[in-house]
Amino acid sequence: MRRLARVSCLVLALAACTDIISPPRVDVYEYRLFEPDGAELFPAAFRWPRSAMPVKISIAPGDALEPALVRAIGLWEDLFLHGEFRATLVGNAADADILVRNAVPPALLRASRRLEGLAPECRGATDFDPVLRDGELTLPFEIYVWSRIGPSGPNLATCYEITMLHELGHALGIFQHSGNVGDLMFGDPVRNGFSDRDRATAEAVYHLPVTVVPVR
Amino acid sequence: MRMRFLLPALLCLASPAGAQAFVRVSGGATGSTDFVKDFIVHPIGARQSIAPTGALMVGWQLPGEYRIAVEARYARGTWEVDDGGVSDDLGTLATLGLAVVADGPIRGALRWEAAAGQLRYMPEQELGLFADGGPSRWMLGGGASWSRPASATLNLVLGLRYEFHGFSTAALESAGYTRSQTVHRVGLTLGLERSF
Ligand SMILES: [Zn+2]
Repeated sequence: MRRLARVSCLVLALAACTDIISPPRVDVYEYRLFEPDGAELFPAAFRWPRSAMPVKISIAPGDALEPALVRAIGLWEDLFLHGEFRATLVGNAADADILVRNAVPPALLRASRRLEGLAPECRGATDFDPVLRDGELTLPFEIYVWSRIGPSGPNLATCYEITMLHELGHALGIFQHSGNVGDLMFGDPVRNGFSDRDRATAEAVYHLPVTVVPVR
Repeated sequence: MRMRFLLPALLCLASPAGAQAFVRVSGGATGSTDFVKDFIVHPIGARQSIAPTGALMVGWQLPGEYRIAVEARYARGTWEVDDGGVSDDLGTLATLGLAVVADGPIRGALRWEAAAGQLRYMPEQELGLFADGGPSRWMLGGGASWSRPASATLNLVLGLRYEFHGFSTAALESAGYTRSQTVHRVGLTLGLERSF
């Protein structure tokens, strides 16, 4: 019995509890879209709920954008530590929550709102439901990324990577541009990855209250 | 990589020449506390769910009534996240523990046991905090077993095991998380043991 007590004491002494310590939080930039609602402004805060995971994304098979899209999905998934965003590619565009097209977007319809990215070799735009003050965002998002220098050229692959990562950020719920050139979500992005502010902003998007939910 | 070499090394260390050997095969369940407690606007916790467990133990009799053994213990649950009250399931999360176990008598059919070894996390999806794969962590534990004859050659063994380890991953560390999260695990198993 004494030996059992000794072993138990040793185990308990070694079992001193510690909690993991989170890093200091970083300032975020504004990500909500402010929509006129009478005399007021409606702050549109959107994210994909956990019940919508994995988000379904469609692109034409073999499209030149596909590697950049696959990379962007992986990077956004891994930005979050607790599975807040997961996505999968689907073959049927009718099933998709986000449609990705390698094309110049059509003239902006009254049925769409557009956020654009303005890199030199390629451009991007994300179109989505223009009326959010009713608390609903009708799917799908439509992401357009297109070359401005023909089907190939210097830096085009990198431009596709940056622009796809940026536009997918809009479709994740970052509905504003950062004012800092060092952030991926700067209006004319040059960063091919996330800054600490991008990470902190995305975490805020996925944990602060929302005012808009996705619907079909 | 370390796990690949651990079991053969433990087997070599723990096999006294000529000693009577025993084998125990067990099944049961393991419960675990959160392996991460985070706070982003609201509390977030992640844990392995209650996990069906299988264990194989091979051991040898030492002088007196003590025994030493090596054990492989596999528990297959899911990666459960509680995100501010919203639950999510991020796929299968298995753990494989390889340990050296010592046991000795308490009274009658009741025996104490102490365990030390490594626990490897094996997530189905390598994303988020497991983006760089599942970690291997050192663990310590203790418990008790109770046995009774089931036949002329087999004993029925009921085992209760407590283990703890410090959890972190490469992805957590690269995101700036420091220290580790102490994880407590309790396993209850029922098995058959045979001596040779
Ligand atoms: Zn943009």
